[in-house]
Amino acid sequence: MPRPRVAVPEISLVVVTYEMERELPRTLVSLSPDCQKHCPVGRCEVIVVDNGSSRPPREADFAGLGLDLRVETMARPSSSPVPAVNHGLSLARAGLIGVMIDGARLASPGLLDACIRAAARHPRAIVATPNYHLGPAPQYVSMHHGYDRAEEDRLLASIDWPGGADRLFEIGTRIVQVPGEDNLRESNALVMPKALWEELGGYDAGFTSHGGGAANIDIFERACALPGTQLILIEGEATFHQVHGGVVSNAAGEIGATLKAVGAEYHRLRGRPMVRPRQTAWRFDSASGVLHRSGN
Amino acid sequence: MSEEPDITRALVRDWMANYIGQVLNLESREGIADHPFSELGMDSAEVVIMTGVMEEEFGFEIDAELPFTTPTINGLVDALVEQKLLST
Repeated sequence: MPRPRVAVPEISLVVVTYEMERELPRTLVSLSPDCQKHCPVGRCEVIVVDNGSSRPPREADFAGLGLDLRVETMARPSSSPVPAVNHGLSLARAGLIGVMIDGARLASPGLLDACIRAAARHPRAIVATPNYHLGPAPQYVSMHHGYDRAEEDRLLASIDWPGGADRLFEIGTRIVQVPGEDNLRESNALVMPKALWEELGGYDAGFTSHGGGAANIDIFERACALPGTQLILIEGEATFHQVHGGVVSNAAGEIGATLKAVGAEYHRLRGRPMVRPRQTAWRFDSASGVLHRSGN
Repeated sequence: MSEEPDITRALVRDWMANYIGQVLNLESREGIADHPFSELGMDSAEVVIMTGVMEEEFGFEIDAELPFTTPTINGLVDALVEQKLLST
């Protein structure tokens, strides 16, 4: 018998998964009330959308986490996660929605609370969290030097994760996307009001390539281009990619070919290059709650 | 008698200048053809992505290392001419 849903949560988080038997349980632990600060049961709902795994996750598998959890399985999975994300968006009950298009990411312990607090600071907030990879370098580099699941397990054990989740930054590498700056081109935990997701029409279903291509970069760029929106970068929280064979993040031998394909698909769809978001971001310090507006 | 490629150096050079100008939101494309991509502000991923778009646009393959061994617009175009992928 399905567990009754709690009252409308403050935030819905859509998490897309594909062949993540090892990674998804850890992701969900990182999002659970035991791990997330100031996030008791009821504050957050998590909607996992499985995109065709050979052994799809089941809600019952995670009953002990205390999450308000819903697990969906795509009836007609595609090689792109975009339909799965959009399905999750259609089910989200909260007025604030976050998307983790890659469900193999650990959340730092204050991520959800920080995103909720930051979003409250502007009616059309685009709340973005920095992107990290677990390990000593970006995984598409470290995998060339032996970084693998066993090494990752060892790293997590070294900080006693999940108990030591505050120490994730010690074993992770920030992914720099704009040279010389710490601005982002995408966020792997992107949080916006439901109204903004609806205005954008969700993710663009035209991104059909394996892994979704530049779909996540595209939604970020389009959101930042909407009138009256304000990009808010969270400082002090992040998501941490677990090595699992991701199309871009774990494209060990073929990163060049992958990037070419991603860029070409984007150019076909948009008729122009990928450009960096033009918005000047505000910065929200998760520890102090201080919001630094541009120019301050 | 071998035929010269249809795609000219000037076409590709102007295309690249326009592409980079859009990526970096440059006010002017004047004089950028001899500046290294990194100096202009393009990162390596953006350069690789650009070559992927070029491959689709122009129908030839660009070796992955080429934009890094000849890391300017003119340098890359010269290399493509040398490979007889472009006409002068």
